[in-house]
Amino acid sequence: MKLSDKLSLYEVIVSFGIFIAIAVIVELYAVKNESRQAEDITRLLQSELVGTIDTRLYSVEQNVRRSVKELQKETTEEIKSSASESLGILVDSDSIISGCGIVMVPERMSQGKEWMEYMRHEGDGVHTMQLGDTDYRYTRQQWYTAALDSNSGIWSEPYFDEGAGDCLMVTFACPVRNEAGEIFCVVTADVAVSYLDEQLNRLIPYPESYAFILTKQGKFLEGYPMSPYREEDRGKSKRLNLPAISKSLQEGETSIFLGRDFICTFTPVENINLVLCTASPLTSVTQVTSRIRLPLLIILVLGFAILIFLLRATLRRALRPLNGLTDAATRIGSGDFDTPIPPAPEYSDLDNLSRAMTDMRDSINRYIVQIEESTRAREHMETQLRIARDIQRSLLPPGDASFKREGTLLSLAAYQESAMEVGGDLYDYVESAGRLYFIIADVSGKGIPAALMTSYVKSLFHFAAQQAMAPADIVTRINDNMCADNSTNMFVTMLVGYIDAVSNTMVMANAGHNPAVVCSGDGCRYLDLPAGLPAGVMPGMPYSETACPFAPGDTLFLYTDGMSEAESPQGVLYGQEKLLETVSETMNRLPEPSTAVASLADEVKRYCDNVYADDITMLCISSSATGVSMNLKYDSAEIGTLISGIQLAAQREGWDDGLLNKVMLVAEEAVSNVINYSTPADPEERIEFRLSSDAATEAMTVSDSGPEFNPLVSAPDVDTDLPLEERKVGGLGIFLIRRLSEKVEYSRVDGRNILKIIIQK
Amino acid sequence: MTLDIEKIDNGTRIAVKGRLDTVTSQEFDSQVKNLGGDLGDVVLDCAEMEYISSAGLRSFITLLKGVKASGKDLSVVNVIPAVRPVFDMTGFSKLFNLD
Repeated sequence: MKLSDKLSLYEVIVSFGIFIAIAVIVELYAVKNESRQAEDITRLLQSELVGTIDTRLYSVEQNVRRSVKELQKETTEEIKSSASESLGILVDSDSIISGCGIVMVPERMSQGKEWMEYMRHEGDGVHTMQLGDTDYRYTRQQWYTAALDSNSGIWSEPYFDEGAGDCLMVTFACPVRNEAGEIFCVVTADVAVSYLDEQLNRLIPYPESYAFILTKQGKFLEGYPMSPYREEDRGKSKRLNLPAISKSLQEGETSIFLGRDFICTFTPVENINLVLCTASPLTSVTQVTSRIRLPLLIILVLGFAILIFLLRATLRRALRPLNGLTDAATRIGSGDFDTPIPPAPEYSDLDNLSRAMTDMRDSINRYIVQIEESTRAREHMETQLRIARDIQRSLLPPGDASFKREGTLLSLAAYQESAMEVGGDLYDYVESAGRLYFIIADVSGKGIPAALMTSYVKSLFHFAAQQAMAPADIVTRINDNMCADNSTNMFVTMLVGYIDAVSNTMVMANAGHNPAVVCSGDGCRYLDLPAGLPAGVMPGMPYSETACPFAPGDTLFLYTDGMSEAESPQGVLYGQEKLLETVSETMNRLPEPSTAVASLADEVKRYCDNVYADDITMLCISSSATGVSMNLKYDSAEIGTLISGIQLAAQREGWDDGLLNKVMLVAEEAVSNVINYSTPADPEERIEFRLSSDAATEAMTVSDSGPEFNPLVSAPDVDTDLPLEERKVGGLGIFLIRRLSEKVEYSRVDGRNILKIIIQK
Repeated sequence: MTLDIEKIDNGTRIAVKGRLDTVTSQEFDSQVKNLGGDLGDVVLDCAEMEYISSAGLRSFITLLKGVKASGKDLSVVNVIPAVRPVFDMTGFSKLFNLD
């Protein structure tokens, strides 16, 4: 739903609500007002009528009293005889008197008999009747007893006078007293209720209203015939809630709403205990309200239609620029930052928005330019760093290498992980003068400055190592060079040393670096080296070196503080103790340096949860024996020992089956040849068997102390083409040696026969 | 080295298992000798012979010569590729009709 429609709708709903509320209030007020007005009018009518009735009744009373006054002077008998006359005067004295009568109080009569003369209008004349005793027991009438108790007469309650008036009536009865003040006679005058009924049409304020008479108790009069007029409204009158009217009468109220349809107003006529009621249907009472209701409704609907139309039109016009602004925002959002921002009418609410959007677009464009510039700069920097890292990586020697020398294999494995693109750690190794020179170094700081310094240290080391300088001298030289050119006060901790595989020794110098770990058959330990100052701190600082044995089976493990000070996510340092423990366990489990280093790297990586605070470098060098070296007895049973030794070496050095078979065969033939053809002077003499390898060949030496014997010339020639009968059994061994080897040489040195055999791998 | 020796239709089948070298060829010789004079046609099954040195070859020739002398035949079968070159180099392939 559009905003304008929504706003219009809300506006209309709220206004409609308010209007309806007002209309209801007005309607209620108007109805109430009109009802009250109707009540006033009705009451006015009723008061007027009651006034009239009271006057008429009073007149009746006066007439009766006048008669009474006359009769007081007379005796009973006189009254009896002139009764007709008196009654005639009385009945004609007022047109509303329907009949009148004179009754004697029986107690004052001589025989105690009842006597009554009654006269009533009948047609144009009058009818007189004698009543009393059996036919009309007046003493039992309410008016009679009431009259005896009254002073100057009293009106009876409405009743149906059967036998005398023969209609529904009220009777004014006034006692006649003798001189003694005793009541001996009563004069009555009847007024037919029909008289009141005839007056009721004066109580019709609205055409649909109707009037009726009720007793003081709020009941219809018994035997009170409905007027023809009321007959029509019998249905309506039936709906009259008499108990409710009765209740309100008791409570002294003067009007009551009967349901929603009628308003009923009543005024009592006190003398005769009757109540005049007028019921008016609300529809007629509220005619004014009803008349204005429809025009009001039409005005309301029209007003709303106009309101909706105007509202929508106004809102739409006011919000029209919003569509343009929305489209522009969408286009900007989708990346078109040159989108023109549509202007909004000046000083309108949307004008500010339009301006703000223009500013926003311009700002975005400015930021984009800035971001592009900085991104370009960063990318450039990153490229440079990547190149630097690649160069630094390429300057490092391979992380996996091995060196063979005189039956000893030095296996080397290195690992490096930089905390930043480029690192300040360094490892290097050089084979020089038959020694394996190595260095591990950690330049203070990280990143590019440290990386540059590593290159410098590396080249200093490389140059010095190639000259086969002593480790202490190398460190001294690096220190002096760094001190000379070190304006940035950078320094390097390092371990520099070499391993001599011939003498099975290691020589190392320390410049403030973490202690090296050396593992041998009896476990791993930190190597105790005199700690020198880190290089680059103090020029001319003398450094010392320490030599220690490093034989096959030994392993050297070097690392930088990135490993020993690796931090767990909880901030706990790895520490030297745990390092030694882990290295011990790893070396024991994985004697091969490359696998050991990989495992240790994983371990540290796991420990610090892949977050390196510092560069980590590890360098591991292990020494292992290669080849075979055996002293064998002059006994062919020794061949088994020889073969096992060769098989062990093959397994250790990873020979293929072809090479193994070749070496085994040659070794067996050469040694068994000695055993078969040479006898030592001393039975304790031994045949010396040596096997060592280099990259392409296995060199085998078999020497014995027997008499000079050159098997190469002594052995008979073997002709492989000869038929079986002519084939000789001897000479096959030497023949096989020749065929399987690259080169066979015999020499006699120091009283020993020496057979040197070179076998191609 | 072990030998599995079984009599076949018109001779003996000797399966050589393991290494036949200077030491074990002596056992080979003595075990074959213990079999007695007439072996009939001999088949040397080398399927499980891992290694043979000149001493072993000598034992084979000795046996071959003995078999031939009694007018029978000896054949060497199932020589594994690792051992085959020794037979080839020494001309024994032809001698024992390996092909």
